[in-house]
Amino acid sequence: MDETQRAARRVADVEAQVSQHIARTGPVLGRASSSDGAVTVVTAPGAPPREIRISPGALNMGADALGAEIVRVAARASADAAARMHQSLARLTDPATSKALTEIGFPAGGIEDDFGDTYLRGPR
Amino acid sequence: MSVQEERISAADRLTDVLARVVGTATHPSGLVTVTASAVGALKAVRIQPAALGQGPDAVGGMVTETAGLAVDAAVQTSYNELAKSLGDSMAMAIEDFAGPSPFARRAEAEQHAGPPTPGSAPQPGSAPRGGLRPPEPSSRPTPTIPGDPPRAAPPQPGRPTPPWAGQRTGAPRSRPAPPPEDDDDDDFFADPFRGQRR
Repeated sequence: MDETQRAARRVADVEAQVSQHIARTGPVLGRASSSDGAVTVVTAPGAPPREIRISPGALNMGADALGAEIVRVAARASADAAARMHQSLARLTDPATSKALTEIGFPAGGIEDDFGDTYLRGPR
Repeated sequence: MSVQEERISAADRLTDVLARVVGTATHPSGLVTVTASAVGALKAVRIQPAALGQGPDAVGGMVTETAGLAVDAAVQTSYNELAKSLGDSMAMAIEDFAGPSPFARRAEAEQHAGPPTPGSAPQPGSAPRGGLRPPEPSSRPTPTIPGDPPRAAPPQPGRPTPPWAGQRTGAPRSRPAPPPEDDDDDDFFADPFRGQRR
């Protein structure tokens, strides 16, 4: 068994663990919204946006500004998805895998915390 | 450079290619164009002013749909670049754990779905996924071989449609399956006394 096959087997093992975990917990999704709620983006890690919600008032900002706002909010949603993925997989993967995820473009940043049911921060 | 060093270098290049390569797709209405990376990051969203008249939900839907196609285009370009610089065998090894390319997935899905039925024809305003035009037609030309007849002719009005009429003619040919390994002992059993002949 050469190095590539060994790597493929390791990826398959981790994938199976992650699939079982996601089957229990549901998909990992990141969300972000512009400050005035004009644009909201929901996305999975490493994937295109799953949903883009635009408020009726956002159409007044003009086509160019709306496009730029979608790009900005989508970047924050992607960062949120990556952070949630790190948090979700922390118990399944070793630190090396976590580091590898960061290296390939999924940084373990902060989670967007303005989507709770209440504005009060929960216990830590 | 040893084989292992070459593979480590290939893995590093994969990360670089995925981060660098972008794809662009345009909605069939021409109202939305999206540029995205292979890992799903939106780089640019251009919305025509006329799109805003269709309402917020329609604009959001068009951007979402076009973004998916732009990412598919970027992933396909990444595979193409890898195959070009590393060779088919290394690209296939990477496909083993990264999954098939978007074109291969789409071709497989269409093969499983079978030929389209007349009732499933897309409506003009519905903007189906498969109906979107590819982002960079000039970069993925349909391969044509001189003397090679077209694989599927347009249906004639008076003729019955052949079963293979639903196959895509514009899709690139999928990579042929590797030949099966010849691990049997046919040669030995064909002439078991060959070692004892003088």
